[in-house]
Amino acid sequence: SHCSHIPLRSDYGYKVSLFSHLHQYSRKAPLTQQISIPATVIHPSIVRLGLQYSQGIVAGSNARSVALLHAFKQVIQDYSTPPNEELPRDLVNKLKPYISFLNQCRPLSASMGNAIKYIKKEISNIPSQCKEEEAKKKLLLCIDNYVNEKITLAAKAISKCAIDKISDGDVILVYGCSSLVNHILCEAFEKQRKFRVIVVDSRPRLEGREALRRLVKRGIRCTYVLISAVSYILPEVSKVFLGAHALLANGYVMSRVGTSQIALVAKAYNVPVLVCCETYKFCERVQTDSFVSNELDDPDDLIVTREGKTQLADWQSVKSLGLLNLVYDVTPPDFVDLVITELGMIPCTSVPVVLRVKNVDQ
Amino acid sequence: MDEGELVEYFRTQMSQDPDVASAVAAIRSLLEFLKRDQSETILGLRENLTKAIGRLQEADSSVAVSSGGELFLRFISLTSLENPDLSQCRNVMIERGELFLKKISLSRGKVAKLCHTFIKDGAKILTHSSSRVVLKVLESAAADKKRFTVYVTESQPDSAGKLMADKLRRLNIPVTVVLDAAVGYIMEKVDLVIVGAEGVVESGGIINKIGTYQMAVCSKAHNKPFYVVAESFKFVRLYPLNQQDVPHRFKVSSFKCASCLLIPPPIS
Repeated sequence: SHCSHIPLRSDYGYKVSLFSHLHQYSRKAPLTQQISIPATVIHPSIVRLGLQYSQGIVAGSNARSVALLHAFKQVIQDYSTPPNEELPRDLVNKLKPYISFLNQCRPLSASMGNAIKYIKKEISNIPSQCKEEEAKKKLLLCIDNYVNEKITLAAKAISKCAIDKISDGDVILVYGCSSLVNHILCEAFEKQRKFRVIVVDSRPRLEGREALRRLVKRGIRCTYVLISAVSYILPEVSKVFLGAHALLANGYVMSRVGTSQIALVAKAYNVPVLVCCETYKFCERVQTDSFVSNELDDPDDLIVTREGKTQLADWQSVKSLGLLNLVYDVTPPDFVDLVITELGMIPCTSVPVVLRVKNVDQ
Repeated sequence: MDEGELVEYFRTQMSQDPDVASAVAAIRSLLEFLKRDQSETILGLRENLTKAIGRLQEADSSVAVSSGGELFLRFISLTSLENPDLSQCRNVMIERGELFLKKISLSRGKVAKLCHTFIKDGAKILTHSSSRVVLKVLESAAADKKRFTVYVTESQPDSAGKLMADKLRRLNIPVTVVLDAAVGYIMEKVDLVIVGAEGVVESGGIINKIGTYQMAVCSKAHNKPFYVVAESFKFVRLYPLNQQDVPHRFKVSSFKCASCLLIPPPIS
């Protein structure tokens, strides 16, 4: 089968035993080095996408989903049905090795998983008597509609709701770089709301710097702290806005590591926590801890070089030392006061209701 | 029917029957407005109704009028209005309006029937200020030959608790009026707390007379069950994050009394 052409990416370095069931790859050994491009069954735009994922050039769940859908559009445009094959079945089979390739470059996010499910369903629903050109046009239109409705228009709807919750004189705390939260803050600033923002950041990704750059460019007053100072800064804060990577069926919020910490401390100070999330990120999985399913990033990212000295340069040789670079964590619904989606403002525990309504619609 | 007449009709409804819920009076007025409305299109009708609801909210800024009006509008439009003849459509809407009014007029009785099973023989009940729903509940429990005693907070600034105590005494229920500040003192003696609500918000919390939040926090600390009785037309489309987030017009009712927000306490 096609899958045999894709080599399995090997794990790198010592894995902490609690997370030994997860993969840990090194950024210095991307999967693309092990496959020869012309002979491969992978479409070049997918190879490019995989490389962008594994090197962290495309990051953030909205960005990754949109990039994935654009790459799939390219694939569908270049696709031609082989003789004696039907487009719906053959195209779905063609996508399987691409998806497993992308999964090896970087584990798929929940939003990407939902997007892929949607595309596969649309492809299988193409009537078999439909001509190839027409079918391709229809699929491209479907993908454009998905991106437009679930991502672009959803962001607009969420901003409208969220701006009601931002009052003059507010001090808003944000964590890391969420495209949706940045969009909301910029819109609120355009609508002349008077507020200031505290950006909390954490190593090793330091994504807060990107958020800071975007907000300061608009003219919003910002303060920048590291996550270790969050209990110092929280008495000043009136609201916390968080983005989400996925919302699980039991109401838990899966987001960048450090989010549950911030929600916990905010609860201790009685500061309301608002999570902003589009409905396409809702997934049927249930998780109560961050161990069962997570992503391990390159452990070498934790090594820092200061004044020419790198302390952990040969950490691999120390038998009792392991470096753990977690990417996600889950926040229980007790710490979240409100979830803003394009369907309106819901409590965290109403996620299964939204999932049920979505399933009925489909 | 112009806006002045509408408000007059509403005020007459309220004064004729002091026991009627303000939302029910508002809906009766809206139904009358609908019957006398002269607009030529469905869209015009809806616009007029929305304006009428806005006018009523100015006259009586309580949460119940706001939620009742919105629910009324939603209920009557929740039907096929595709008949090209406007008068037919209007008749359908009026019919549904009457149905809605009939249903909600019975709601207090239904609430009382469901709730009085929570009151066991020999119970000591604490309640806050004067709520007609709670009165109905206690009335039906007394009619069921249950023996219980009631503590009512006097509920300043309008001393509404004293009115509640009078009404309960007339039903031969032993009642004691306590100071608002005595809630913490009395909590260990009572078995359960029952309060009414002005509005029920989307997060599951309630908006009620000032002093209810303290009572709820106290009862949680003492592990006493805290029950809220409210009709379904009080459910309002609001999601306040804290006390500040409640719109100011809901905090000051036409009777010039402040309201507070009661958010369900965190799961400890």
